[in-house]
Amino acid sequence: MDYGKLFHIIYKGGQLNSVTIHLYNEFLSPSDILLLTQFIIVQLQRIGKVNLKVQEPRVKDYLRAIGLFEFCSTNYFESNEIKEISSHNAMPIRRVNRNTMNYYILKTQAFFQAFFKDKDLGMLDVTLSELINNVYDHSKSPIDSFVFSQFYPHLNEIKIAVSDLGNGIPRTVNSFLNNRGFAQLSQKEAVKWALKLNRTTESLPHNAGRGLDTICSFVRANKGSWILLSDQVKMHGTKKQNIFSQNPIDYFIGTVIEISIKVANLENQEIIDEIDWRF
Amino acid sequence: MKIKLTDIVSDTYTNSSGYTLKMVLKDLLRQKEPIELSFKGASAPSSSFLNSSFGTLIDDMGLNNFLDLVKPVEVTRTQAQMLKHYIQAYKNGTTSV
Repeated sequence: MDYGKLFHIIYKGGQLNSVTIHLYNEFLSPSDILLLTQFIIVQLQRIGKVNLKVQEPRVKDYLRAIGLFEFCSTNYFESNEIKEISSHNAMPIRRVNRNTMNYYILKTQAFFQAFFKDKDLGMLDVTLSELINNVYDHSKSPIDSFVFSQFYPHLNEIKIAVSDLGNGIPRTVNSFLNNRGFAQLSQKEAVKWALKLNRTTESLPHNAGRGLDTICSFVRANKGSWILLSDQVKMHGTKKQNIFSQNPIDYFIGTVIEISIKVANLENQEIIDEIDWRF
Repeated sequence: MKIKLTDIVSDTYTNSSGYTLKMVLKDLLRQKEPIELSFKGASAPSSSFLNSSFGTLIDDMGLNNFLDLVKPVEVTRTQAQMLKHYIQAYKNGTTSV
């Protein structure tokens, strides 16, 4: 799927009478699913109809099962109740905001906890809440944030993805720097800036905005990985380093982050009596 | 004195819940006695929650004073990791560019 073409259509903002997406992919990652969903939702808002032709019957069945067609139907009303998709070890695509974040995270943790009864799934709490909070603290996204998560048994990994169509991280950082009279950074340096411990573009309340460095720290401790696309930057974070490159998707708007959590490396459930602050 | 986080807030993700915790702790800390804050049954906290609770309290009373008087107890390993990460960040950095 050529995401660049999809974002170009969003970017132009025109009123195309008809859009047909030919989907030939045999596999869609959680972030792929959210990018596709975002495009369809935006086009539905603009022209009320999108044609999606899925080549592989297996992929079509999968998209139906995870609720993409239902979620992207005209006048779709999101139920207050979240129903997990047991057939694919997944939580459904949801449009999540601060009011619904608590419920979504609780349901997600409870669903995956059933698979790994002895594992401490607090990393899900931390990463999901940081990603969703970041959208509301910084991006000013017109579509809230979209969230999707799935467990992949053959990898023994939980993948979670959060996306938005707001201001990307480089633009937000440079806007912050500009307002305070500091020199502008390249897009890559702006993302590096945001990843540094205790850096933030939001001053109230207190120094909100430690989200990205927190995610980086937890992913490294888990020996997992994450991929970030924002404006023209791509970042692939591993247990050792963050590798930066040009975002391969032209006209990209907003941010999508996908985190792969290695279940085997999660802590076991254990209660510590008291924290030792001497570290 | 021991208090339970889940008796005070309904989530550990948002700034507003963090602010609620801050106000409760601030009131109790007037007695200058250590407080054991139990995380039993609570989710792992976000940085936004900690910014609005621990962060603003540390600004008010100083880091060492805070660490002497506020004792997180009954924490999971992930909660402990998050709390240590947060305090470490506070020790290391400032918010200025």
